[in-house]
Amino acid sequence: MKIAIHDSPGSFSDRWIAYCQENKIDFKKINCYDTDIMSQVDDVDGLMWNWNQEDYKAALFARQLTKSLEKKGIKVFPDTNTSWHFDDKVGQKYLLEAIRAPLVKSYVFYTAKEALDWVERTTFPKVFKLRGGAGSINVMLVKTKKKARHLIKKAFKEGFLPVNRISTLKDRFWKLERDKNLDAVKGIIKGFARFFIPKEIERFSPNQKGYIYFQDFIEGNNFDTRLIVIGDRCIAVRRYCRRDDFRASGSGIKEYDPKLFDKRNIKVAFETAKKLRSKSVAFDFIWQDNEPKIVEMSYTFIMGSFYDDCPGFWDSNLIWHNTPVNPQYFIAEDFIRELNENIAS
Amino acid sequence: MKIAIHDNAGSFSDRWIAYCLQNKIDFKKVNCYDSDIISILDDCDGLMWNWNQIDYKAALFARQLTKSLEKKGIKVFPDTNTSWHFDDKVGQKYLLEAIGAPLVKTYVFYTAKEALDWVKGTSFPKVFKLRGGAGSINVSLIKTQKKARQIIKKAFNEGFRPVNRTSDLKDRFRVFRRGKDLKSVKKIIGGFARLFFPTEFERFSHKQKGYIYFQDFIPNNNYDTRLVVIRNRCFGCRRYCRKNDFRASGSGLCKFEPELFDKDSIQSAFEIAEKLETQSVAFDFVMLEKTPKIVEISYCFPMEGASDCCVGYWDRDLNWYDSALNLQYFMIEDFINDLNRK
Repeated sequence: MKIAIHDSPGSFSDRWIAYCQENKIDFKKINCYDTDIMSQVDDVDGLMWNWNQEDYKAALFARQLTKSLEKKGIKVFPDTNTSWHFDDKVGQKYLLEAIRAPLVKSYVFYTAKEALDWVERTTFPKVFKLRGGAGSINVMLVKTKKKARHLIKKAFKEGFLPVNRISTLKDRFWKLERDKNLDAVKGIIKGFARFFIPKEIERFSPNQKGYIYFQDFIEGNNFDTRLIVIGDRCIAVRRYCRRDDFRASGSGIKEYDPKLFDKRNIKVAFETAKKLRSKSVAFDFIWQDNEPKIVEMSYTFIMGSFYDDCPGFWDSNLIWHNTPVNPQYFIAEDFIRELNENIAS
Repeated sequence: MKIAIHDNAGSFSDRWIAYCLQNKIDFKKVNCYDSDIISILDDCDGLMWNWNQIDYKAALFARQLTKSLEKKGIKVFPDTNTSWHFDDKVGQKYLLEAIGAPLVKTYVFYTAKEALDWVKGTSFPKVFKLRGGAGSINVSLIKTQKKARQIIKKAFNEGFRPVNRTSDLKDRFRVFRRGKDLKSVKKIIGGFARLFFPTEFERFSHKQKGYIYFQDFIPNNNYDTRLVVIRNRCFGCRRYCRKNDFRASGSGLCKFEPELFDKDSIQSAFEIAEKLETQSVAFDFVMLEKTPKIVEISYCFPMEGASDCCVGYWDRDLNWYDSALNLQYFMIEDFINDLNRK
C-alpha cells in the first residue's frame, strides 16, 4: 500500500507527511499540476491533496482530476462526495435541500427579472453572498429593497470581484483592534497595497456574475457553532460575532467548553455528514426557533491552534472523549484505514 | 412513474415531449432555473434537461443540480457520469487517460514557466484549444515555437475570450460559400454585427486564463469520424475538413454510408462508453498509424442535420441495422426503461 501526497507547505500536507513518517506509511510527494500526473499515480493506491479556495489553479481542475482518479480506482482525499460543493454556496443550496438537511432558507436567481420580482414579495434584511470565498469576505447584510435591487443590477451587469478589497481592508482594521500587535499593523499596510497590486487569485479568477444568491437573516445569534465531522468524531468551536457585525466566521473570538454545545446540534451534524458521505466536513450552525440550522459547509479549514485547542471530540453516539485533537491526523488515519480495508477485501 | 422535462424550444426537449405525448408517459414541464427547483421535483422520478455549452447560466449550476438530484434519488439525463466532462477538454484529458482510452496525446499546464519549458523540448505543429467551445471555434494550429510562446504568454496574462469573433465570422463566410443562400447571407451580416455587439454568452462567460492546453497534431486526416453511442447503439458520421483547414468539426461536410466506418473504431467507442458509464456520448476519432484515437467527447450534439441523416446503426455486436433514426427518442426510451426497472 502506497499513497501520494501533494506537498504544499503550510497546508494539511505538512501533517499528513508527518503522520506517514511516524507510522511508517509508504508515500511519495507529487505535484498534481504536472501534465503527466495520471501516469505518476500508476504505482499508488491513494492521493491526498489539500486544495483550497485561494488556489485559483486548483479550482480549474481539482474536481476533474478527482473524478478521473476515482474512475481509475485510486482513492482520493478529498473525494468527490467530500469536495464537489466546496467553496460553492450555490451547489450547497441544492445539495442540502436535496438531502433535506436543515439549511437556512436560501435563494438563487439566474435572471435579474426573477430576482427583482422576488425582492417585491420578500422581507428584509437578507444576507447577500457570492458563491465562493471564506471567512465572510463576500458576505453582506442587505437591509432594504433598494440595496437589494442595486446588488441585483450589479450581478447581471459588471458582476463582483471575487475578492472584496474594501471588506478585506475593514477586516484588517478589525483585527488590529482585536489583537493590537505588529502583525495586525502589517496586515493593514498590506491591505492598502492590495488596492493597487492585485493578488494572483484576483488576476486569474473571473468576476462573479450571471447569478445572485441570498439567504434568510436569522436574528438573535451572537455566535455561530462550527462543528467538524471527520469519520466518527465531531469537534466543536463556538465563534462569536465581531462587534456590531452579524458575521462570526473569521472573527477569531472563540470558546471550546464542551458544555456550550447542544447534543441535538452534534447529532444533526453527524446525520448530515453521513448523508453527504463526506470524509471531512465543517458546518456553520446558527439557531432558528430553537432548531440548529446550517449556514454553509466546507471540507477544509484552518490548520493550527484554532482547532488543535479543542479539548476533545464527540463520537457518533454523542459520547465525549477528552483527548488531544489533530484534525489532519484524523483525516490521514481514516484514509489509510479505508485503503487497508479495501486492499484486504 | 412521472418525469420532469426542462422545456427549451429548439433543444432535445422538443422531441422528448413529443415522445411522452405519443407514448402516454406522465410528464411535467419544469424550469431548472427556478430557485425552488428541488421541491418542484418532489413528485418526479426523473428529470431530463438538454443544457449545452452556449448557455452560460446552465454552466453555473447544471452539474451541481444534477449531483444534488442524484443524492435525492432522482434520475437525471444527462447524469453526472454523462455530463461532468462536457465542454471541458481539460477534464476529458484526465478522464480518458485514467480509463486508458486512446486519447490523442494531450498536454495541460497551469504556469507559464512549465509550458515554456515544454515548448523547448517538443515538436510542432501542435493544436491549441481552449477547454470549452463546440464546432472548432476555439481551436487553432500552432506551427512554430514562437507562436506557442506568444499564446502561452496570453494565457497567463489577459487570457482568451470564450468566443473567437474573427474565427466565427470566417466560419460564416465558409458556410456562405458552401450554401450560397439567403440564410447564409443573413449569417454573415450577423457575424459583422457580433464584432460590435457581444452575445449574452460572451457578456457572462469569463475569459479563459490560468491554464493552457495543447494536443498533438495528427497529420493525414482529411476527415474525422464522429461516433455517437447511446447505450447499445452506435451511429456514425464522417466529417470532412474545411478546405485548407485541419478542422472537421463544424464543417458540415458529412457522409454516412456504413462501409466508410472501420469496425475497430466502433468497437473502441462501445468499450469506452461502457467504461465511462454514459447515457449518451459522441466521440471524435482520427486515425494515427491505423489506430483510432479520440480527439474529444460530448454528451450532446446538434439535433437536426448530421445526426438525423444517419441511415442506420450498429448494435453492440457490430451488426448493422438499416433504419431511420431519432437519437433523442433513443435517449428517452432508455431513460424510461431504467426508471421502470427501478
